[in-house]
Amino acid sequence: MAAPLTFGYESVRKLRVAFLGVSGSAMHAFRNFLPSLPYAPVELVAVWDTDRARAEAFARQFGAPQAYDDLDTLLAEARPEALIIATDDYEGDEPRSAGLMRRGLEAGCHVWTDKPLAATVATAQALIALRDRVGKVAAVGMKTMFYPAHLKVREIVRSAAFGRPVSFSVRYPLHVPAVPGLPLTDAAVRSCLGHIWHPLGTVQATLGPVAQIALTPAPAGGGGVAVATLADGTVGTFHFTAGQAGTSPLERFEIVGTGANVVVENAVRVTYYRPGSPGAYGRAPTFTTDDDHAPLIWEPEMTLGVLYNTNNFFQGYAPSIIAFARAALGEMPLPAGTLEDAVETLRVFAQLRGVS
Amino acid sequence: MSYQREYTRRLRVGVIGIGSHAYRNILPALHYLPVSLVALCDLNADLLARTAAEYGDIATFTESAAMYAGCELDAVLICAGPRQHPALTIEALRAGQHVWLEKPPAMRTHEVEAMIAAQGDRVCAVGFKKAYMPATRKAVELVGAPDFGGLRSMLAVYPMTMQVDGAAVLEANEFTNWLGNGIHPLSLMLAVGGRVASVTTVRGPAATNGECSGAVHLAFASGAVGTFFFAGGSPPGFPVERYEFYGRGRAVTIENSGRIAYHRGIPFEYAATHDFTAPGTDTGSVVWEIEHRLATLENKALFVQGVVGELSDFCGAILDNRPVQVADLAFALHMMQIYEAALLSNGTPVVIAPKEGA
Repeated sequence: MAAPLTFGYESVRKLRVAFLGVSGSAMHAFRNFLPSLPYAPVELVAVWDTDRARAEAFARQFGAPQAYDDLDTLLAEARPEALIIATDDYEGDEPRSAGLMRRGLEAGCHVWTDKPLAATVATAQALIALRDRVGKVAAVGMKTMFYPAHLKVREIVRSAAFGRPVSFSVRYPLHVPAVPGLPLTDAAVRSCLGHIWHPLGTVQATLGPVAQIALTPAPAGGGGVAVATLADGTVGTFHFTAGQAGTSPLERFEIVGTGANVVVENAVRVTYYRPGSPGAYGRAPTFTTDDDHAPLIWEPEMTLGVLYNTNNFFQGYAPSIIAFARAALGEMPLPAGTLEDAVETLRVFAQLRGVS
Repeated sequence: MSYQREYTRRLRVGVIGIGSHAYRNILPALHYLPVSLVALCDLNADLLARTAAEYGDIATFTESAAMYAGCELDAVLICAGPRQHPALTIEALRAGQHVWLEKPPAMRTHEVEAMIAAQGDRVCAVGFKKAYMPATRKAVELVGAPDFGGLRSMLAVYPMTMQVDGAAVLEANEFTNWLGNGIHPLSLMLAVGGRVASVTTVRGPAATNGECSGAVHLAFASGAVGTFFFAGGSPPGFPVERYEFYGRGRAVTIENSGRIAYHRGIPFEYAATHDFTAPGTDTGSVVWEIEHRLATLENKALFVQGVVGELSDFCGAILDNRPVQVADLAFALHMMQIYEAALLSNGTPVVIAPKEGA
């Protein structure tokens, strides 16, 4: 568990941030990113949107003194130290996020953007080069890398008791390309790019990057299955369950170690099946094995008006933004959601597209 | 865990009452006990013959007295019903038998007192299976451990209704579901909570066929309190049964008989704790849950529901010359006191007076 939280208003040093939100992601930001800001050491100084009325509405709602529909004017007048970007617009083949991050870095700002960062490895690598040249922090909102559940899993799989992780499975309703070579403008490809960060971030946060992946699309529904290999030989499967019921929980994640396994269900329920024996086969009269071997579960209680049961926290939004702000303030290195993490995800995206 | 054929010392047992329940639950449980089935006794001669044929060379009787006269037995298992249990039990005890009898042990408290008076040096146990469930035994262990901080309260949820006029039920010597099944969760509550000092029944206003919803509150002698919530009206087949036990910063829950959890929580600071996990393995909930895929013992209903456990305690008491560990006649007497008090209470506590033997 992380240390008790310091609220934004309690922070002595605050990062001056501007929020850049456009298109459909504006509502996503309204629900998830902007409400996360009070928990980060930040001060919202401006809001930008191509729709000025919306920019003004958001500024009023979240206490920003200025609203803009011209980014150059915002950068010149508000002089933010950092940008928070949330857009699902595209500029040609590339998500608009990439261009906005580029402008922000070139203007001397730290930049956090929601996924998708970019469509290609090359674009992400160019952003890395720019980031390194200007010496700023650049982060991607790979929220599953910040799930408290996944960070707990990472602690477990790295413990001696768990042994070496050998295999994993990830369930997520991702739409995947039905055939290789589809263009980036294809609807399924674009949907895949929009969400691949979630299942890949899950694996990257807990086990590391996927080195190879082989996709078999489902005959209908838009999903499929994929077999993956990590650099250390760990193998896994992705069950892309596009086509599932809208009422179904989206995610299930399991890692098998050496005589142990750990499961995350529905993003918030962590079950650690510790090493142990159920007793002699056909002889054990009870399922209540000894205490040191019994499975452990962590699950948030959902009744108190506190932080850990707020989706801004258990879905990783606030932790991701907090980490970015603290990294930008020089308090810590960015622990996850780096541009390098994004490159690893985009490598897999290219393999799923059949263009790597 | 040994199987019957592996035991070198076995009790020669007869079974009285081989109806559906005994056929499904008691006779199959013998495979896992240190017994040899020697005789069956039932009023239905045809059922007796057909059942005995499944168990090889065993004697059959339509009268219990004839069985005692004709067979050399160590113990008898009685599964006949609460109206017959007292007389059959006393007869068996007087015939020198150790006796296990199915619940309910009787229709009234004084009948159990009569059994106690007739017990002598014989072992006598009653089939309160829920007191023997592996989940219950684990709950007893967890609740009794220092870390739990002492039992403060408990909740039982179980499908049940109760008669509006409880006194009339007792006066008419009526067999009801409250007697037949209400004592299941009650026995579990007593196994964990110990002696009860008073009982209060709260009946709901809506009654169907003279039965109503409600709850029974137990004030334990320890100071803990418990509620038996009547989940009457729950859908058939729905796993409604649930128990919760609370101490100091700890809780234990039992769901559907096969899942027990020891809840330890996390380091908690209101408004500041933003992670529902915590480092290490000393936080969160320890959970024991049945694995249902393997064809083994721990997932068989006979084990999960405590049938093997209760009969094993009985056999062990005889073979090891020790007391019954849970559901002896004193336990049964206390159970019947609570059963009657709950019927008689109508919103006000009925004090359970200590009785000799209970």
